Amino acid sequence: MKVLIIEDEPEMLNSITSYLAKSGYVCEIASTYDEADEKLWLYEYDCIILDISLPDGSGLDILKELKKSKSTTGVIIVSARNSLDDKIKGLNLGADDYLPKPFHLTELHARVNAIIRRKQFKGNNEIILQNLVIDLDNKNISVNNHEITLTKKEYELLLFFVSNKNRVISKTFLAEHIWGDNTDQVDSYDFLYSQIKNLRKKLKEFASIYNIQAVYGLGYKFCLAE
Amino acid sequence: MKLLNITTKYFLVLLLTILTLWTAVFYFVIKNKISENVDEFLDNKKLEIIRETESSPDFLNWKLSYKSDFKIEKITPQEADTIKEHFSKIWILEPLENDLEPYRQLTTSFSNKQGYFKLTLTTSLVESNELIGTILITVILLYFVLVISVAYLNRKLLQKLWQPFYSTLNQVKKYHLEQHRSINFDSTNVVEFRELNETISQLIKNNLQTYRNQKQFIENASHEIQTPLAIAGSKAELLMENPDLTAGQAELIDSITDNLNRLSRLNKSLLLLSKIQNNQFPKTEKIDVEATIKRIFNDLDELIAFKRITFRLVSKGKAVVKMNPDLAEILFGNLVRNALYHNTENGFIHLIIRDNGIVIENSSLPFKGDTDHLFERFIKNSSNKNSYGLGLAIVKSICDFYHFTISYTIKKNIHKIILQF
Repeated sequence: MKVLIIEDEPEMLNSITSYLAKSGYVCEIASTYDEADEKLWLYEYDCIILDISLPDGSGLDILKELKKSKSTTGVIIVSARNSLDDKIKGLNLGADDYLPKPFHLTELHARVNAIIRRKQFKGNNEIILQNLVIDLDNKNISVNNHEITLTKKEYELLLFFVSNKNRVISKTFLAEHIWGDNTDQVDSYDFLYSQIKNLRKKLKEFASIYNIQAVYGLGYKFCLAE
Repeated sequence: MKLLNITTKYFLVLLLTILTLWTAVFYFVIKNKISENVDEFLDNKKLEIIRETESSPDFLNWKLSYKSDFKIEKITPQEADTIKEHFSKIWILEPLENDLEPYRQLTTSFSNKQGYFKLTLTTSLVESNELIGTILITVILLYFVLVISVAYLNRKLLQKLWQPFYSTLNQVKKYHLEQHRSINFDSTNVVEFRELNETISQLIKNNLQTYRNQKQFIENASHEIQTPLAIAGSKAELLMENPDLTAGQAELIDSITDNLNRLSRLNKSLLLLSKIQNNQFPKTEKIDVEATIKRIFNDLDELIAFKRITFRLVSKGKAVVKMNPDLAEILFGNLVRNALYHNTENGFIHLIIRDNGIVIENSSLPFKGDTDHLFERFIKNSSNKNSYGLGLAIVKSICDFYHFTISYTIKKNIHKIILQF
């Protein structure tokens, strides 16, 4: 799966590339408008991570060009401008998602995953991880053909874990992902622990091959159960 | 008091004083003049009669014609001494109309070869009184017509003259900087108003420029801070994936991530605060408060259940408020989260929705600290991790922006926030 990262900050570009590369994405980079324009003209990508403020132009113009050529590439706008105008403009122009900077790579990864999934599995929107099957349309989860019932937050957590499988996820990010970023005080770790405990128990009940593991001092990881 | 009314008031006071004085003086002068005229007429007549008596000795027989207007009586010299020439007003019964009518009478004495005589001359005052009456009515009529028409014209004229001023005032009143436009004033040929318009235009232009610069600065500052934050955060995330991490290193990375996260949340909140204070949320909609709050609670219901908090919403009215939808979400979200985070296990949240506001009551831990400083916590203060911090500062600033009133009380570990639209 090919991802084009358009971002003028080299350090950021580095981080995103190495993070996504670990999940098996083929990452290409462009740090200027012209470079991005050229690459988009020459190649096809599954997903584009697009920074709005580029040194020689606006990312929104790239988006306009892309939509003009009827491309089906998924686009995630990342912007440090954190302004509602950008978000509205971007989504109106046909972007699939908007992520304000600073964001967590985990979050970006999950969103890239979601976009590619949406683009690739039209009609049959299922995630299959060994014996764990998640039907995204009906929000049904089954392990070993046994349906399990999750609460709203447990479902959201599971999806986030699945989108970031085999990655270490900080508990801070998990809390933020669930409560959104309008939260001034994310001090609800107790709640998070209990949700994860429940989720883990439910997955274990029917022997899911993938499950949540605690990573000492850092957070959690969704990987093959030991 | 409106300028127009003040001007009209002063003008009317002045006009009324002058016109009243003038009317009174005019009336009395005319009245005096007419009386003088009557007296002069009687005096002339007197001289004429006395002259006549010298040429026609049988003047005593003229008595017959007394009825017309004079009477001559023979008197003794002693009597003549007591008569001093004087005018007087008398009332005589008019037999035809059976009515008393006013007369002016001149009483005097004269002497000639035939002896001493008393002469009484009389003339009717009916006509001159009628004249005075007519003049009085005309003057009063003129007085009223003058006052009303001058006052009316003055008011109309002032209204017309000040019209450009009011038009300017209205435009300035409606003006909001965040709409990013300048004002087009109506053209006027009054120099002062033109100068006023030009000055205001210039002022707005300068403010607009400052406003844009400030907005630009905030955006740039945010960009400059967010980028290194994002990079640092991403590096920490990459480090997290290192399989050779020791437990101690992992804890350090966790702490770095946690603090970077707090910093970025703080930055976002500060940005939001400055955006609210800069009026950068101009779009307004009618917000159904109850629906918004229910949605927020719905999102938090699992957390509420986890903390075993009893939540009760009492709807005592239909609160609909005109405000920016994003700010509404932030305002009610922060209030609800505040009530939730500072709550105790098995606690409660009571929310009352009224037509013109909401009341949130929640149980909480004993409040440590000075209750006098409660309101100070609304102002920017986030040094304490467990403080009410920027969450309520943002609430306060949204309330200030929309002129809502908010009050906060604590009684026996029960927090109560009253918000009035």
